[in-house]
Amino acid sequence: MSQPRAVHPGLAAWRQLRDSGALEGALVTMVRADGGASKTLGTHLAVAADGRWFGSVTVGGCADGRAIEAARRVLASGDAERITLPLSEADAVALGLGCAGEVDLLVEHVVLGDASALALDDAAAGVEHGEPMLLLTAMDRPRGRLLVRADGSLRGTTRDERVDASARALADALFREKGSVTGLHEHDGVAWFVEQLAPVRTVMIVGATEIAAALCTLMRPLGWRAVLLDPRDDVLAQPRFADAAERVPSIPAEVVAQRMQGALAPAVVVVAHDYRVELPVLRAALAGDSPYVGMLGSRKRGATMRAMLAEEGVDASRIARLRSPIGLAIGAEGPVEIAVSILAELVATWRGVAPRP
Amino acid sequence: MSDAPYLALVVEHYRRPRNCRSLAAATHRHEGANPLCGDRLRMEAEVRGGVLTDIGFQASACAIATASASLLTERLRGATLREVEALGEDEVVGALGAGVPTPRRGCATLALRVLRDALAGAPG
Repeated sequence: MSQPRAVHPGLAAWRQLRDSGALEGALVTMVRADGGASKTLGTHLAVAADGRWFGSVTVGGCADGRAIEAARRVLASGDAERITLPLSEADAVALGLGCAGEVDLLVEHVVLGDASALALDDAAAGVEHGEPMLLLTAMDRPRGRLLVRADGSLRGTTRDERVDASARALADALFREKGSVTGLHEHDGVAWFVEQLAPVRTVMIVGATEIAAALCTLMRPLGWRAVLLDPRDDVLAQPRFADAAERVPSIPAEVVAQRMQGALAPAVVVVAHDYRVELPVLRAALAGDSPYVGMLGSRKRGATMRAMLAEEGVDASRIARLRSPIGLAIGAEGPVEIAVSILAELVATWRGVAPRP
Repeated sequence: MSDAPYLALVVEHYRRPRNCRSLAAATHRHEGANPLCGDRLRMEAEVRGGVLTDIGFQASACAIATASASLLTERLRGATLREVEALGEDEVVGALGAGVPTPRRGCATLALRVLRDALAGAPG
């Protein structure tokens, strides 16, 4: 079975450039942001030499036109630039419709297959496996990009051994810090933009149903991995599930139990609507560290399931984590809208936000 | 808020654009864009005997591009084709007032460029 790869949102633009067949391009990275909320450090926009572009440096795309102009300059000159862009021009501000703040963008020429590109490739592959990694980009000469793993191994180079060693030491220190370290750092006189690569989020979907198919499809642009579990080999093999990163014909509760430990435990979404599957899967999921366990069904079905788990002796605090009915109450009808409501609830859970009614 | 001189006029013409309408009897029409920034503008003109007897525009554009189109239509209604030809980009930018940022010249001159393209085309 084919297994499409999930794409880390921060690296999606790079992957799209690479997969476009372009041999070279300019990579724009947001390295500093001031004011406003629609900006994420480390966001990329990639511009191919033939003019196509991928990604966006701001959520609304308001700085993209000027970023693309800078990318075209860099493609022509080969020299990297750091530019500061206000997110709004004076006319928009005068109308009271401007975006607040400004951003700094690093614009680099990247040749597919060179050391910097290989570091990006490895980063894109590594996030799928939940590897803790830091991507360090030198802001000045010597130029270069290094991917540093938690074990100290490196990919990429500035072509200066001393600077590479310094980057490794900086990464080592940053790995020990709590909280996000994404941003500009200076070490041994060298300025770096450090991107802390969060692992790709994984959602374990139990039950190869039409809602599951919609979930798999909608999760791809989110950059999440869909792992689809079902006992039926032939159903799992159907093309409608082709967007799943993994399709596992199995006894679902066994697979859930195996993957439920630790900080990288996946979310569990049970859409089988089949008691033979639901009860054992919920038992396994609620016993683990999953950040989200939800089950499709009515309030009555959810209440019955909670009562059965309680009778079995499952701790009340664990039972309380079960989301059933699943998804945000948006009046969803049909499989795709239900999938949207489930994904919205997952976003809120991962962001630690209580959805507003 | 910036107090650059051009802003008051730009905001006025963006909020209340002049001649922002389709011409039923247009003899020339053209649509043009600044692709990277997303401005798109259609200029329409009715030309009789070498004179722009009517002129209008429609736009999905920033305040500078819209205001420039608005001012341009006010200025060129009743003008001859020769006068349109003689109009320079600096003059069009200057009509907005002092202080238009250099990177925004493309916005300020879009209407003139689109109008010229419209007039260069065959009457239709």
